[in-house]
Amino acid sequence: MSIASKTSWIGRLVAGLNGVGAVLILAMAMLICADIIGRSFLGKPIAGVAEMIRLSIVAVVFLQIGQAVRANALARTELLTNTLKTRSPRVEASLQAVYSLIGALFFAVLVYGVWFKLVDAWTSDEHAGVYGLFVAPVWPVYATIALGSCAAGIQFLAHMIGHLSRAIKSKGHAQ
Amino acid sequence: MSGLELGLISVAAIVGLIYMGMHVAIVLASVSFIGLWIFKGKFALSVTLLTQAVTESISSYVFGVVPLFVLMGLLVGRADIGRDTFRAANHFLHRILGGLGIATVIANTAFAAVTGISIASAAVFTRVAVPEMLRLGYRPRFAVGVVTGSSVLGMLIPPSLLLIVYALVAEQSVGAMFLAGIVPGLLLAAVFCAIIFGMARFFPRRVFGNQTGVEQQEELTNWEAVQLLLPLVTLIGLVLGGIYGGFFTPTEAGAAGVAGALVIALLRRRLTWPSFWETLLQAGQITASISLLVIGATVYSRMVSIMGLPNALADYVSAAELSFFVLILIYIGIVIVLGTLIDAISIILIMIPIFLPLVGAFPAADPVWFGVLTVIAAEIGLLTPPMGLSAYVVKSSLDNPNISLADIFLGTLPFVFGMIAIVLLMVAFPKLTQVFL
Repeated sequence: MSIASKTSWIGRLVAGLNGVGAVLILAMAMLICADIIGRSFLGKPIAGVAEMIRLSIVAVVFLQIGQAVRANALARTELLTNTLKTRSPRVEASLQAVYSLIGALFFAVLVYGVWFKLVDAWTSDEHAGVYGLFVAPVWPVYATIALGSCAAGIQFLAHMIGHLSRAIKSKGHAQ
Repeated sequence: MSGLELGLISVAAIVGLIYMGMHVAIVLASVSFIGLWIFKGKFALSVTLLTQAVTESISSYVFGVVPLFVLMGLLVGRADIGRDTFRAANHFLHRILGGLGIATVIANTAFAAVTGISIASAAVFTRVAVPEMLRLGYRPRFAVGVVTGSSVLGMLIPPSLLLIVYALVAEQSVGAMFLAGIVPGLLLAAVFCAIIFGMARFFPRRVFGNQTGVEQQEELTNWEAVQLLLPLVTLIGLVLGGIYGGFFTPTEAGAAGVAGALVIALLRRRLTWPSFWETLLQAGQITASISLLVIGATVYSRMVSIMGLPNALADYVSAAELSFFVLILIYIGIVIVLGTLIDAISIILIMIPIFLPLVGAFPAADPVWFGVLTVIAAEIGLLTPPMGLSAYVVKSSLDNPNISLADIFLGTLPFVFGMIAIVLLMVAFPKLTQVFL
C-alpha cells in the first residue's frame, strides 16, 4: 500500500491526518508500555491511561479514515467488479461512481450528526474522566470525527469524479 | 410494512450490495440508516442512532486491541519471523512422509500465535513454503492447497482479528474469546496434519510429482534451528503468556507485543525509518477499515433489534419446534453458503445480531462457544469458490503462472472437509472451547 500521491490539496490533507493518526497509535503503545513498567517495577501506575486510550482510539480511527478511502482500503468484495472491469469497463466505472457517491453521502450525514454533538460539548464544556485523577475535554474528539469525515467524504467525491470521467471516456480498456 | 418484512428486506439488500462490491461498512450503516428512517418515519432519529454508533461503539479501552494487534502483526511480518519459523519446522520435520506440508501447517500454527490476520499468513507462506515444496517434487496443486488451507489458522488461533471483532460485536470479553480459540485452533492444525499424512500415505500420486526432487536439505544444526524459533517463542510468551497468566489485559498485551516485535525487527536490522513509517501508516489504514466495519455493524444491530427481527425469528423457531441442534446446523449451513458470496468478517457482522439473541434463548448455548463456531464456519468461506479470499491472496503472491486459481481451490478441498469436521465436532462437544475456563 503506497503513500498517497501528494499532488492535490486533498491528497496532502488526507496524508497529513494519516500521519498524525499513525503517531497517535505509536504514542498509545508507548503510553501503555510505560504504564505496565511503572505499575510492575516502580509501583506507580499512570493515572487515566484507560480514559486516554478510550478518547484517542476514536481520534486514531477518524484521522486515518480519509487515507483508507483514498487508498481503497475499506473492506469490500471485489469479485463482481473485477469481472466487470474486463467485460464492460463502462458499467463497472458507473457502479463505482454510484458507490463513491453513497460513501460521500454517508460521511455527509455523519458530519451533520456529529456537528450537533460538537456544539453541545463545546458550549456545555463537557469533560470525560474521573475528577481528581484525570479529566479531558470531549470536544476535540468530536472535532476530529467531523474533520476526518469531511476528508473521507471529499475523497469519496474525488473518487466519484474519477470514476465518472472513466465511464465517459473509456470504452474498451480498463483504467 | 411490518418490522419483520422490512428487516428481512434490509438484510437481503445488505447481502446483495456487499456482493455487488459496495464498501461493507457503508452498506451496513446506510441500509440500516434508511431502513430505520422508513420504519420510524423520522430522519432525526436515524441520524441520532448513527451518530451514537460512531461516537460510542469504538470509544472503549478494549478497542485499543485493534490497532495494537494489527501493528504487531505487521511488524512481525517485516521481521521475517514467518520464514524462519518455516525453516526451523522444516528442519525438524522433513524426514516424515509429507513432512514439508506438515512443517507448513505447524509453522503456520506458531506464526498464527503472533499475528491475527489470515491474509498475512497466506502471503508469507506462499512465498516461503510453495517454492520449497515444488523444489522437492511436491505437486503444485498440493503445495498451494496446504498453504491456502492452513492460512485460516491465522484467524482462529489467538490473537485473532475475527475473534476480536466477534467479542466487540457480541459484547464478550476479548480474553475469554482468546482462551476459547486455542483448543479448536490446535485441533484444526492436528486435523490438517493428519490429512496431509494420510494423503501422502494412501494417495501419494496426489502429493508427489513424477520426478523426485533433489533431496538437498538446507544445512542447519539443531541448535541453529532452535535459535531461529527464539524470537517467536519469546513473543508468544510475552503476549499470550501475559494474557493467560493474568499479567496483562488484552490491550496491554497488544502494546507489549508491539514493543517486542519492534525490538526483534530492530535487532535483526529489518526495519528502516521509511519502512517503519510505512508500517505505521498501514496499521492506521487497517484499523480505520476495521473500526468503520464495527461502527456499521453497530447501526445494523440497532436496526435489527428495533425492528424486532430476533424476536420474530424466535417465535417462528418455537412454532416450528426446532431443536437447538437443528437450529445450529441450519445456522452453520447459512454461514457456509454466505461464505461463498461474501467475506468472513461481513458474515459475522450480519449474522451475530440476528442469531445470537435467538440462540442465546437456549440454555445449552454459550456465547463464547457460539463465537468460535461462527468464526470457523465463516472461515470456510475463505477457501471456497467463487469468493475464497485466501485463494486469491495465494494466487496474487504466487510467482508462478502455471498454477491456476482452480488448482488452488481443488488443492484446498481436503482442508475444507477438515474444517467442516471440526465444526461438527464443536457442535457435538461444546466443552472444547471451555478447556481453559
